[in-house]
Amino acid sequence: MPPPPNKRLKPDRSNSSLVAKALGADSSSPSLGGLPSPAPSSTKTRQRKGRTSRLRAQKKHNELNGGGERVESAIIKDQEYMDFLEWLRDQGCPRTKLTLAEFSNTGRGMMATKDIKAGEVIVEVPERNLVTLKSLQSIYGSRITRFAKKINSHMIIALHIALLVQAPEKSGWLPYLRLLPKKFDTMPVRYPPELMEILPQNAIAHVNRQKAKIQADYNCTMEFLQSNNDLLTRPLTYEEYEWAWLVVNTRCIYLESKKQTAADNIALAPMLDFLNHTHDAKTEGYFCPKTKSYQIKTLLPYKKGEQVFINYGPHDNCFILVEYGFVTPNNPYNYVTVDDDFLNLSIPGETAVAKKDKLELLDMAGYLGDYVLHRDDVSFRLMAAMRLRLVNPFYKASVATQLAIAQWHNVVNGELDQISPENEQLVPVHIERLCDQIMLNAKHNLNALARKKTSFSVMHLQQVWIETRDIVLSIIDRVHSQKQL
Amino acid sequence: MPPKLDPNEIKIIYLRATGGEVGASSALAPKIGPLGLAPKKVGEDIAKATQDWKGLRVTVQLTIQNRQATVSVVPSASSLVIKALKEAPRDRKKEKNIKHNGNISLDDVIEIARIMRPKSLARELSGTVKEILGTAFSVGCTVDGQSPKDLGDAIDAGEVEIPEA
Repeated sequence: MPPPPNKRLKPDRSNSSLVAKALGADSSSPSLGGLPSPAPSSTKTRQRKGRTSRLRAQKKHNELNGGGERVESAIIKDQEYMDFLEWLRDQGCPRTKLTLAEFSNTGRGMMATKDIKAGEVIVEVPERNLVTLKSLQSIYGSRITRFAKKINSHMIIALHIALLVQAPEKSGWLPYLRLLPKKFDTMPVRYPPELMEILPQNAIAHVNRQKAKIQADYNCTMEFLQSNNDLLTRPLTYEEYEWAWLVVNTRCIYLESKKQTAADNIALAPMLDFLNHTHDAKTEGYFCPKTKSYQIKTLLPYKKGEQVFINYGPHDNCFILVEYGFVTPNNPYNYVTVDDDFLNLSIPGETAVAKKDKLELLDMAGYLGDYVLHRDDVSFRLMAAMRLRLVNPFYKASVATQLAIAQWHNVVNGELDQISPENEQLVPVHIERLCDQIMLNAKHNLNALARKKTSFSVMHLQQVWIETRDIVLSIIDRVHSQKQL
Repeated sequence: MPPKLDPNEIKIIYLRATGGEVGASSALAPKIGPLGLAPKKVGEDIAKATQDWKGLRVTVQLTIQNRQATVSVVPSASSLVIKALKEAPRDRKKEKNIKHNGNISLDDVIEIARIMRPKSLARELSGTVKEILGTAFSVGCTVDGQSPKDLGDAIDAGEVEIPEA
């Protein structure tokens, strides 16, 4: 899963890349490995160990180990990457056991050139190579302090990248800039409207928040540039700024610093940002005061020729898709948000007034919204809200209702297991109705996607909806087999 | 939200629980209910994870990552000392004010000191051993048949050798 999502699309320059023969076990090229290997002869003849024999052995090895999912990989050794490596050396970056490679399952990523032990530092970026608010203060210095508004680090780093791109030769950062993705078409912010509407509801809200943030940062940047227009060589367009903003968004890391607020703890670290994400990678990232560099340590070993991953954090696929523009297979953090479906669910015997009162009650108890389904598991929040919704008839003034509300509070606080047996019996029935609705929605969206031209975005969305369908199915199964939710 | 490797995305909750028992959900619900976790299920997970500590009060660490909780036991000096006593599990409801008047060996103490080494502020292992002896004293047990206090004095006087690490 590439941090720069559109690298998967191999934009415009993949032709120029000299794809070298890869190292390691995963690397046999399929066109050469197609010959059937001869049956082992019983008479002892001297075997010649040539290239073909090596390839056959490798193929056999791959079939034994890889099973169905074989990952093809090829090291990338184009001029741009070589320039970048030289630039890194000049900057004083220590050598790593990693090299850039193209993988069939994730696109660009980092491959181990040697075996890596657990607990080893895989990548190290010296402090002066990190782009942070602090490092930019030395460049823009008083301009930032003189500016009336507060500047957040995401905004200023994005502006810095945008300005570097305007005059790349002068900056000394050209080798890095050339390796950045050219487009961010797999990011949902850049989706065309007809794909936008197929996103899950929580992702749409997330994208809208992101859009608003980019717009706000752009406006603030324009104000900043008005008083500092000597920085520009030509006017900065929204598209350019959005690109730079997304570069920062998809590639930045968390860097702890005591003085700054949480939003200002981000840094851009060349080299490190080529590492891809999987949920099962175990890594630690920290700033080492001794070497004055940001280091990432892996807690898992890697073999030569394997792709090295880091863990961006415990994110589900919707989050990863919106923030980084890709999805990972078998992500254990996936969930389905059902807020809208829950609020729109009509419950027999519930009046509009009662519904309003119940929602108020939920809000007061801190249980309004954030209703999710996990695989084989309905979130406690949704269960609590559903139990209250199913208290009917519901008249705030009546004694019976007040008693039910008190019981509900007891259930939420763990004093009781249920409001009443009748209420508890209804819960799975209505959870199933909720699931049926989402199922319909998922089917509808999958059909719509099947009619679309295949692209990475469509494939990502397909995966998200298939996962949604599977999670909902697992819940329906549980209801049918009468297991506890 | 976007930065990678943000440690703040992982919430950690500590709580005391009796090992191997499913505690009352009312203790868990106010803390983890609003996060969407089912108190009952987490309570069962805690009981499962503390099977080795049956009947002992232990500190449990709940690591919550994106609405999913994993349970681990935080070793504490007193729990480890009581565990080393190898007492028969008791019903905490029936027996009150449990006394621990058993005996453990100095090797047990050194073993516990090694586990607690990262938490201890002592410069040398002998310092940590003395800390554990203090815990043993407060628990009420003896070490190698002596009072832990006497043994601590003996370590200070250099009569008892403690390994470097």
